[in-house]
Amino acid sequence: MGYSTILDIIGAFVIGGILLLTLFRVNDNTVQNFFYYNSDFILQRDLVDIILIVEGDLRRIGYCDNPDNLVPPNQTILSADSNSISFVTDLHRTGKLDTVEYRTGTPDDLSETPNPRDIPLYRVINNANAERSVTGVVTEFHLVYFDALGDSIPLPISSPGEIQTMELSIKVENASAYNQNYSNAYWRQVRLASKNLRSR
Amino acid sequence: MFGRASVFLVLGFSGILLLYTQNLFRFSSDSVDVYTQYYTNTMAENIASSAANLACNKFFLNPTWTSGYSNVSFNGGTFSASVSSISSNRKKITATGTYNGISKSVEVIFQPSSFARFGYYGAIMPGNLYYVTGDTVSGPMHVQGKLNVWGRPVFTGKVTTKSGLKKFDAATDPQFLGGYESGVDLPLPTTLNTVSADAASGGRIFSETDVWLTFNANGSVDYKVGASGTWTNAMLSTFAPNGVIAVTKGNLHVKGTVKGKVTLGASLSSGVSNGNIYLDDDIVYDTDPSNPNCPDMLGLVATNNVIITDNAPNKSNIVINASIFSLKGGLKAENYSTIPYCGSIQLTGGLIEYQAQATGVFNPYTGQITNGFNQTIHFDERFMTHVPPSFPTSSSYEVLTWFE
Repeated sequence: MGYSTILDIIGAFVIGGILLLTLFRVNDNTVQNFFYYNSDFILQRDLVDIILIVEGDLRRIGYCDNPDNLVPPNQTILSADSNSISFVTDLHRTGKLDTVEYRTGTPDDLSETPNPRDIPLYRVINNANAERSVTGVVTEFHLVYFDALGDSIPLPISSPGEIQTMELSIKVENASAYNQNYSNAYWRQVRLASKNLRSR
Repeated sequence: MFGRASVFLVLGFSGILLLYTQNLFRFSSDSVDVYTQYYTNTMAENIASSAANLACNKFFLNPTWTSGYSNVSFNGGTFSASVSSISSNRKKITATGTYNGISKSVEVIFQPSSFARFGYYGAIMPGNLYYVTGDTVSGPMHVQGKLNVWGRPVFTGKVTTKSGLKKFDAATDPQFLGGYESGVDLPLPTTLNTVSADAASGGRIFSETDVWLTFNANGSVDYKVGASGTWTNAMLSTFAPNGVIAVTKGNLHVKGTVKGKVTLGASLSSGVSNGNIYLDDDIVYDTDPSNPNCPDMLGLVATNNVIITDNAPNKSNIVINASIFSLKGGLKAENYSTIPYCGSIQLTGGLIEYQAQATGVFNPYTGQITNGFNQTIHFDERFMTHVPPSFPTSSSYEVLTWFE
């Protein structure tokens, strides 16, 4: 075994070492990127799923497949707050009115998740058990209400019948994150209106 | 040897990295796909909603329109719409929007627009009559002319007028809490034939006589025909099964507690001495109308006036639960200028009149009523969705419910 062999071995160790270090780094970056991309995708899919449900319900406030069972437009929203709303609609088009309530829980409700900000969004139908009514996990669910003149209605709202349109903002974040960097996605509908609120 | 192995390692890692990169690109494109799908859904919904609005417009302009739309190109997609009857007087428009293969539907149900859905309607507003600071009008309101306002009157429901507003001065600032729209032409019907026809077929009709009706909380009614007639008791369900009771060329005198859905009509008058409804005392529902589950409804429909009788029971307030319709007159108090101050007219329902009539006299220096009545009109919100039987309707339709 001459000098050339020893140099080959040393060279191989050096190159192998560099490759190994590169591999670790690449692996770390790859896992991080994979996590981010994967969680972004899941996050956005979750957000769109939540939006389709919430937006669909809010656009049907006051609807009833059997007009004989309609209630006056000013009685269709039962209560409204900045992070909750309760209203009547014919959810399953049976001709009978259901009560639907959207409200958020608290971070303690999701204490098992690493994200300290995520909260459950409850969609309670006909006063069912809230724990079985989680429609998604959000970090923000914020509502602003407007009257017929387009002026925002200050909270607390004592006369929900004044509500004609609303602004809805939803923000979602990962339940867990790589290096505490939580991805987020945000959606806002600036004027969401149910035609049934202004049916005359 | 090791150098060659290193090359293989590099090639191997490169391959693995390529696979990861492919996955990352896939997640990126999937994320875009999610929003593309949302966008496509939203576009299809918007096209369907636009189609429904276009169809509604056609239908409002021409209630006999049934041709609909078929595969009309619109905003990168297509829409179709159809009109169908779902009952004798209700119609449904179904509009479908399609965008990139996704279809969404909107359904709208209409019925003839009932005048009972107004808290106040005035075909004529006298030029010297103003809504002023301190006045509050409850429920939807329409004036088939100009609405005169002075100061800051409050209108809680949507207000429509045919010819706009007449403001007393530049500082006048009416508060339209339910919105305001001008240019809305909504004339009164020319006759009340429907009420008479429905009373004749399935209800109860009297001709060329005055009729007295006293409603009882048990769902019966005491009635007599002519001033010298004898009182007879009958259950409303058999007396007038469809709830419509009318007199032609005569007057009705009514009072009592109404249980059920009833419309009383005094129609086809010849002159002003008949075609009137006299309120001889309070006429109220068996169940408080502020209760959303109250099943009772009353429509008072007169060709001429609805008159508060000058008698002893009405000398201390009068409570009226009804939607009042007067084709050629309004709600008035009999001998309003000579009777003493009688308290207030507490009307829960609505008032649809040709022209506001006098119910009292006030002292212009004190603002106090000296003869007759004050007026308090509170709109019965139930009339937004349900109305008394055969209550007059306009020639146009209104949206009952909208599904999207």
